[in-house]
Amino acid sequence: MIAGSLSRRHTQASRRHKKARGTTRWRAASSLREGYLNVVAGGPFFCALLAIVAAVTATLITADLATVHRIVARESAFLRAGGDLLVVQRANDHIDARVCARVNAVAGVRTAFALSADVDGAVLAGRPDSHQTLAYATEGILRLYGLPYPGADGVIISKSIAERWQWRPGAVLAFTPSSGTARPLPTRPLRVAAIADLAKLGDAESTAILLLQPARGNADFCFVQIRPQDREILRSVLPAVFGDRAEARIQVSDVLPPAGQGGDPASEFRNRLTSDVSLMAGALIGLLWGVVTWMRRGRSALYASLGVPYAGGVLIRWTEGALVIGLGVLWGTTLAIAVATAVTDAAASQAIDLGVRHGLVAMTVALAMVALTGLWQPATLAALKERQ
Amino acid sequence: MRLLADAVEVRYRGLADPVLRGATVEVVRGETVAVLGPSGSGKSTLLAVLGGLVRPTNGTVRVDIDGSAAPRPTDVTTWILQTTNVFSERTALDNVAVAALTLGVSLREAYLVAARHLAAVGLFDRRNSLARHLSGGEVQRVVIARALASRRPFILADEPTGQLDHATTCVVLDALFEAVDESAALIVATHDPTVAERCERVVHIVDGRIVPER
Repeated sequence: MIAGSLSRRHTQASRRHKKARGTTRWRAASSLREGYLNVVAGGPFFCALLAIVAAVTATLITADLATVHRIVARESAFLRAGGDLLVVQRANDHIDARVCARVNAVAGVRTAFALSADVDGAVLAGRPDSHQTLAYATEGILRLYGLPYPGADGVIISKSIAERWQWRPGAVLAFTPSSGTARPLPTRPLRVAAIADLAKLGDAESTAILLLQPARGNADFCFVQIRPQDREILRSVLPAVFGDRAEARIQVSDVLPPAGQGGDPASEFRNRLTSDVSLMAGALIGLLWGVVTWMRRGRSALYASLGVPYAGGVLIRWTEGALVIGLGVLWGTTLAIAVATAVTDAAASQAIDLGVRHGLVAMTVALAMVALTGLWQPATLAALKERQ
Repeated sequence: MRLLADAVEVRYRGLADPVLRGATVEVVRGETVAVLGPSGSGKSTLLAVLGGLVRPTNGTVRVDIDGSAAPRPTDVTTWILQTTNVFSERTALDNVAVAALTLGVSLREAYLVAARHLAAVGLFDRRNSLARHLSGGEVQRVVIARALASRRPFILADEPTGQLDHATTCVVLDALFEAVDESAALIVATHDPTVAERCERVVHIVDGRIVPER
């Protein structure tokens, strides 16, 4: 009955099959298929293995993403507070505002502006007791705060002033000179164009009303916003730009000392303990796969005993390893990025960039170890006997 | 085609005495040979040497094809071991098809051949069962079907019924001896005289030495 159910197709296949007696012509495609089917049929074992690979990857990568996020967050807060600002002044003298404007062209400088303060230099019209500090800055200050040009009658006010007088952008104000006014005041009414955190420019500026002035004449300071990595070179270059003289030295100082942020972020980033987590993850996963290969040596021996050639067996083991580790590392990396973004509030682009790099390194290391362990072919007879 | 072991001696590392001492055996395609002997007599080692899995310390093993260039023993032999040497999480059909694939046939052909050989050992209806769900006797018949599907001229069976009860042993041996045709030789290592009786020739082995009996 069974024989009857086997169709003519079987007979034809059998005929072709008999022609092949006694030879081994295992195809590479068969190895790929066997490797794939072994993983799929492996069920709980490979699921558990996949989960372990993903967990190792995710844990280690998340650790580094969290560390980097801490460093970046601390540096960002430092920079927001003025950590990327240098202040240039001349001992016992003023600096030239035109030279300060020219500093904008120096490599590594994001913006530069001259700044002078006239403490209690005005009284607000209609408020005779309100002695108000005025600050005068060149246009470069707009780039520091990311503000548009305020117009000829526009002023920028500090946050504390805005809060004290309940001023909003668009509010109109006028000044009358105070007894100590050092500069001529604008006589026309002025309009509040923007509110900014002027406190990082100094104590006087924290309660100032800031007016733009052309880049000419003298100024008390030149503020230079820099790329943090160019800090040292700019500190050494700026005195020469301003014309350092023995009788009136140019002093370049940090608005906030870098030590105030708890160390140099660049070196902290480079020297962080978690920077090599991807190598560690790859090595751990590779070792794990080595154990799996050893545990499954009976299976390798079985393929060999069936006539699968050495290269075919290697390809089966590579396929199994590549599938499990590839999927596991992919899963783990995705998980790490998701967790880092959700829990630590890290920027997604930063987490993706670093996470993907870690994932690729981990996968490369792990796959290299898979490739090596896959070359190992156990002694067939011994492995088969153990299997029994 | 002949499989020849000539004055083979095998010493395992750590053992003072050789496991095989000058064993000479010749098996011709189409015959059934029992290698009979007590446990530890060297039966399995002799099969391993014939199958190319163990390299002899002295002596030679070769395949003879009418004087022409011969393949290696590993290329012409296939194995039937005790009942656990299957891919347990794969189907019976998968297990047998793997052997057919070693001949370079297409996947479709391999599965057709596998189905035919499972039918030959009475397991066509169980072809889609996972190997781990099969009984010991059924597994061993899958292994027989697999050996036949590999189309190797020499089938080496090492205690193929060693873990089976008497009734199952009879079923498995019936399947084995019925399925092996004149195009293949069957070499069975066993300590069971009833298995040896089914073979055309018995090679007796004692303490690594071979004594032909009939």
